[in-house]
Amino acid sequence: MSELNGQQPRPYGWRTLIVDWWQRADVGTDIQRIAALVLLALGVGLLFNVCRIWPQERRIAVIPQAQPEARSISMAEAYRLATSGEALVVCAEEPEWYEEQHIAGAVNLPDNEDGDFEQYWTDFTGKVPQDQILILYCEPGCMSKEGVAEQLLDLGYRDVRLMNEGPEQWEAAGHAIVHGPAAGSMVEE
Amino acid sequence: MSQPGSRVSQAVRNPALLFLLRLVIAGIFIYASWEKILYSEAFIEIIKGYGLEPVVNESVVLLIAIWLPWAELAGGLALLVGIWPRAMGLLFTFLTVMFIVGLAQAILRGIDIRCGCFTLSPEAATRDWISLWQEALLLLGCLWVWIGHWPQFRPGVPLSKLDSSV
Repeated sequence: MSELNGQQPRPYGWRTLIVDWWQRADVGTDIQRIAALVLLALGVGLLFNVCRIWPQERRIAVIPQAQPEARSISMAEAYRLATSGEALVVCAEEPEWYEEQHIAGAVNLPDNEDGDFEQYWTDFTGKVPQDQILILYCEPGCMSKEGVAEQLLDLGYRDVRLMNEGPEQWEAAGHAIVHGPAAGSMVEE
Repeated sequence: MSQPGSRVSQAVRNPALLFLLRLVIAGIFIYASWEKILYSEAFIEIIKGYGLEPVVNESVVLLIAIWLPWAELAGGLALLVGIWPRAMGLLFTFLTVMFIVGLAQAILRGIDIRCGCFTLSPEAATRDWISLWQEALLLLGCLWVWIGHWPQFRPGVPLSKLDSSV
């Protein structure tokens, strides 16, 4: 390295070069300035979001709302809620299966992802309020009630419960089931 | 005695070029911030489209949606009027690298991704490797703004002997 203004440059290694560059390019100061701007942007952004009056619906909820989940329910509890009128029983199987046999008072709501059941869903959402307790069942061991529960939760229904037992177990416990398309009464025969 | 400097170094530090570049980069980031500020919910969907959920919490996504557009706007305005141009060059270099990394990992994983950099429209073209030239060009510009504002120095030469303009 050549002599500069009578001063002999010191020997250079990579580490020294990087440290020297960091100091001389003043990267530390840049990072402090960026941190200041980042904090400023965050503060202004939060303030803008909180004070957003137009359009208000675009305000971001920074703390996401907890997503409701479907809970399990025992057959005895399901029966109690259904007969007291607090809950609506929903058969998540396809219409043919529902017509063969279903729990008395249950309505049919097939999984819309398995077929074209748009009309069932339109009717259901038009008649059943979102705060209604829903008890879903299907053939024992099936998964269609989980799929229907997920779709119902996405639509805003807040209390969806899953019953593992089907009509046969329901009947074996001495509760009423119906054969045919019409929904029967929840009152035990 | 002033330092001679290489031709490349002189070109990078050319004041007229640097000024022009500052205006262009500032304009790009100010323009990019606008739709993101107005249509936060569409921007959130774009961020989620990067497929980062396994490693990035939803609250972090929301904070990015709140913070990033304002950082782009504030940084762009600062660069436009010449406040801390070197630091703003470094900030935009970092942001552009982040965009490129985000896009590259999504393309690599086969995700249909829209950048959300300049438009939030769902009709915007999905990105592929070739389309990354736009970000590469932007990165080059940001790097230029940053490096062009470095104080002049040579290894081993005391700072006091050199021009130091920020």
